[in-house]
Amino acid sequence: MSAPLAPLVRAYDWMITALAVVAGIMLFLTALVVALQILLRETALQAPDWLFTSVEFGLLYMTMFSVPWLMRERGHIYIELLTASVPDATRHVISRCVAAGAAVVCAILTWYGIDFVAGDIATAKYDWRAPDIPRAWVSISLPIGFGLLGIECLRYVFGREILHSGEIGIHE
Amino acid sequence: DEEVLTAVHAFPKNLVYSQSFLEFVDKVNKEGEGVVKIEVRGGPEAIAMFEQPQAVQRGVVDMVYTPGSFYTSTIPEKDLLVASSINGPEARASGALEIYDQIHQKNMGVKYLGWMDSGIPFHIYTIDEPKVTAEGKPDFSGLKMRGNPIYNEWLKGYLEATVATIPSNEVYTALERGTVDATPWTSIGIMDWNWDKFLKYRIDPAFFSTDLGVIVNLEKWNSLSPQAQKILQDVAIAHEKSSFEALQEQQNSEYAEQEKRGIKSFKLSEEAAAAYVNAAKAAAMERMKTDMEAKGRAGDFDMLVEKFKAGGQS
Amino acid sequence: MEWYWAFALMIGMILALMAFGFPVALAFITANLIGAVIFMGGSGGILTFLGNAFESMTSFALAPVPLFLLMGELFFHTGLANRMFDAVDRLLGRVPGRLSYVTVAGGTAFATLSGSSMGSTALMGSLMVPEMTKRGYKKILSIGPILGTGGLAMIIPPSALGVLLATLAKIDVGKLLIAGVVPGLVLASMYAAMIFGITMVDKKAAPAYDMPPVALAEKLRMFLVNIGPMALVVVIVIAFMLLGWATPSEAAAVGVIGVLLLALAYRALTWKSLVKSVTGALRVTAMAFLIIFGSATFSQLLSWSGASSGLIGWVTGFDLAPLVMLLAMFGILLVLGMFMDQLSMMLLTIPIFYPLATLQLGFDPIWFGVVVLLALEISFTTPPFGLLLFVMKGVAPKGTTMAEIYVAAIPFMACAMLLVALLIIEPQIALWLPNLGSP
Ligand code: NA
Ligand code: NA
Repeated sequence: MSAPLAPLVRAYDWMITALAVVAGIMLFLTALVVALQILLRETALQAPDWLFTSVEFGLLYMTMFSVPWLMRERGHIYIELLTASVPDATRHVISRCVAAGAAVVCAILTWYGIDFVAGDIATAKYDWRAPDIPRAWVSISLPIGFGLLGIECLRYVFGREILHSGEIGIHE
Repeated sequence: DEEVLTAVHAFPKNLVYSQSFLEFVDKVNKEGEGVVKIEVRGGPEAIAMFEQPQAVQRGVVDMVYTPGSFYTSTIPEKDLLVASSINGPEARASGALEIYDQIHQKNMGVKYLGWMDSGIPFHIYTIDEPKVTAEGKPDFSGLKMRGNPIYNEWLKGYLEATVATIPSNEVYTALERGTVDATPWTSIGIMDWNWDKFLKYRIDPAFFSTDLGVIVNLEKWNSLSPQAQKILQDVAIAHEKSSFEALQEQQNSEYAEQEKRGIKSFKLSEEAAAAYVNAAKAAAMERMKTDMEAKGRAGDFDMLVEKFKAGGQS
Repeated sequence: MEWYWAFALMIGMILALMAFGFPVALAFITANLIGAVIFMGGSGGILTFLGNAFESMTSFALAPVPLFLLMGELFFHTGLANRMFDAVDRLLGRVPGRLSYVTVAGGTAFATLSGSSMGSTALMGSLMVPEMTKRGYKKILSIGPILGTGGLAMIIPPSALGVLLATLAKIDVGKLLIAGVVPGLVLASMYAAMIFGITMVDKKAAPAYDMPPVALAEKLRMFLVNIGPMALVVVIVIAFMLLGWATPSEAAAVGVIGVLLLALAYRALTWKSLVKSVTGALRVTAMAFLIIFGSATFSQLLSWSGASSGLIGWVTGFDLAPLVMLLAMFGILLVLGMFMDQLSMMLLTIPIFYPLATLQLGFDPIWFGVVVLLALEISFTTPPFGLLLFVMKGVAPKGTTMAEIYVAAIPFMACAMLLVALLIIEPQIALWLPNLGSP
């Protein structure tokens, strides 16, 4: 990376980490919220409906906010079969093509994800389970997650390192 | 040339309501031979349950059989069916369903073909004998009730129950262990889930009713030949009536079977019963009014409530 | 499109993408994207795919996975697990493979109390595998029993999938759940026997270090200080469920709170251990949930396109002997299980299999239910795509290869297959208990 871009890249990396931290906090909060829900029910106090639904919606947030970080950490599982049986140079080409393909798929999903959210906003849609929460607040996590996941895939298209190691087996 | 409509149903195939829809499909396919055909692609395993109404709006699937509750944020007027004192055939005869269809066409881009399986209300079922207050209203203090967005406002507001959200396939275990002490359910079906092992009281009267219907993508509907449209509409109207009658019969036999299995009817006094049912309707109508106001459609509120006899009565 | 072309296209895409080295989750998602355009039509299809995913991911049934993972990671990173296993090692003295037996016992306990195969695999995997690897156990003795006992969650009650099956098939829920108890315990015993067999054949499979003899008073102290409190957490979780204070899906949260309190009491809860635990749990959650994002929607496309119902119709269309037919249905469940999730499989197969099995072939409905649950359990761990295998890959120590996981799974899958054979020979294994007390 050229020097003028460096602060930008650092800020971006920091954001990916920050989103993962948010996801981690959500994971931890899930335990507390479910415990609270038990406590309220057993003491015959009323838990608001959104408490339960917030756990369900949190699962999607947790996933979408942590998958870009996991891609940077090479934490997604993949199989090395073809990439393990070809010469190094070919492997580099295939690996970068795979990463590019993944980036394209993420880009398409980001595009339609935005469409999906726009539809939710336009129709003021809420989920049947949670009339108090506009669905756009939750579905917005889809384009965010896929958009950043796509950018993380680009790392393995243009970056120094590639995704595949060349060792046969299934990797993460 | 035979015109083909793809279809999905909201609930698993074996459920009584899905079976009723498949009967409707068979009738259409028989009546419409050579003209129109419905091709069922499955239930929630093909398109997710709450996603089906949007799929028919987008034209991914041509026909969907679903409760109106699953698209309440688009058509809050579905609460008319929930709170209505009339059934499908009556609403058809009075022209109420015609208005309901127009609401769907205008605001959702779908044709409302028919209100199927109507006339099936809900009851609250409890494990222990219910207590009542001095006025005869059920006293649910300290009682844990399994809730559902359709009636949560009423349960929490009027009945002051502690409401818990439990997925339906975890209710068996929840009742077995007393995680919840009561659950509302329709007048039919609790024995399919085997909940009758634990639930020993059924509070009478019933409240609300189901809002299951068939919706068709409007563009697809308009592209059909008049002959195909007529067959679909006629069969739907006939099925509104026959499914209502069949389910009334099933309801009677299930009430008898419930009694045989030791589920006692717990009757509220006449006065308390009216207050109980009216409070449920009022909660639904208040919710509907708020949502209609947000959409700028509240002008029709009074007319609709009147048409569907959805207001409280003494 | 004929069902076999749809089937070949969808499965072919997955296999090709994976062979090229696409991340598993993205292979599913890419196939979905293409499948949605072909079968559902253009942009509407893609939006519907996203809607399907939205609904699959926002389901409370998934909540136990991150919670059990967090519980296991907390046990591990606070050092509480280490204390407990040290104590077990010293108390059980020279029994070879002792931690494997502990795994079977613990795994069975968790399967019994939770309804979530993935959750209990996540818990046992994150808790036991790192410790056992550190102590020199071979993977077959650490990973194998966990994969085996993970699947017990849906056979031994409570089981949300069991309830759903009974409802879909219109059979007695109580009887089906109780029918799972004996086969579940038989299977757990078979796992124990398998461990014994492996430690006999391969003396190096489990560490053979000598333990100095321990005095009785010291034994008692170790038990009270190092095992008792940990066991208490498990007992509390079970109690919460049995008393109905928590549903099986909620119970994991009680476990997390329990471990946190215990770690506080032992002054073992540091900021560092907390961060490490959450990070570890998040890694596996993100990996597994993105795969579920892809595979749950893939199931729906297989159904929508008519591919899976075509396969079922084709196989069940042959006029075969009852036993052959049973094996054919079993086979379908295993094949579909490679690509589909349990819930969709049930919705799809039960309405077809049940009338066939009970009315036409004359099988006992309760017995057949147990066999179906076993098939679903096995399909959860079937290489190459069984979801539990990926969860295990996520929690296993760095350097664990997928091949090691496959190899470790095989003996324990064989046990489950053997149980199916036993059930065919002697149906009373399943039917004796539920029919007790009824004529
Ligand atoms: Na279980
Ligand atoms: Na599977």
